[in-house]
Amino acid sequence: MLCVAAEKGFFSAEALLAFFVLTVIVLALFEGQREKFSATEIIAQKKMDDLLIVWAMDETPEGEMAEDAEFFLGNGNFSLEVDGVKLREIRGNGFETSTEMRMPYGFGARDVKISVKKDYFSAGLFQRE
Amino acid sequence: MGRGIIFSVDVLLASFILGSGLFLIYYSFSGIALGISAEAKDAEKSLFAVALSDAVIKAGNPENPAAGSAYFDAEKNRFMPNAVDAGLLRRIRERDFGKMRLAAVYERFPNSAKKFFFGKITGGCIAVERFVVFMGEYGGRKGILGVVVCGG
Repeated sequence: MLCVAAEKGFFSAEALLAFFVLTVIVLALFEGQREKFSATEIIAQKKMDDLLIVWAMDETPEGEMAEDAEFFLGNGNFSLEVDGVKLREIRGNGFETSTEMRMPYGFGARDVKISVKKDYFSAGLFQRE
Repeated sequence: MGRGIIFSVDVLLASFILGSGLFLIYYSFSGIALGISAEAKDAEKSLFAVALSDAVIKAGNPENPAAGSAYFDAEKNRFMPNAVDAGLLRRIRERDFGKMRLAAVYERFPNSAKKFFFGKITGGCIAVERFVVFMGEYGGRKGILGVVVCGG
């Protein structure tokens, strides 16, 4: 039944190896290119908007802005900049998303910029209960 | 040794490697498909929770506070976005939206303690927290409002 491969077979080791390598490459490309479907970006934007809306409501001073953001987003998970002055900085690396707004304050205006880490597990953007 | 007519060692070996390759493709794609399905379910639930929390804090509907608990500013004659009426929040009850349900609404304090306006958190839920001003008897206090959505 079994024979020594004296003649060339239908398949070759090279073809099989090529097929195997091609399979791995196709799978890697597919997984790499696939965009992860998540609501993180939207949630992050909503949270930053919330802070800006509330601050605009009562003309919150800078110190209180930093305290509010720390309470809401967690220390180190966001950066806050008012009129170009950095009040808080993000700690560590991670994908960020940011929003900014020119806020009317009395007779003047202030430029407020917030950035947050998009990684919701570390930034507490939303919780799994 | 006589040669076989149909089978040979190299065909056997080739079939084994080909089979392994096909199994690897099937296994990988089924894993990817399961991952996509789980991500989509998770994203659907969190997007629903975001939409629901948006309605609660930005719209006003005293007859149905789950669809809007924003504070009504009589002076400006409009509902204030991100300012919520604590009295309306307490009137919200668990509500079924088909696949998902509004399970709880709470306030989170700086020490991470939660005070529930209604409901409780069980497994398989997602809580979206929003930054608001609590009006009414709370007298304009800033705080965190959590909207919990379960199911999906």
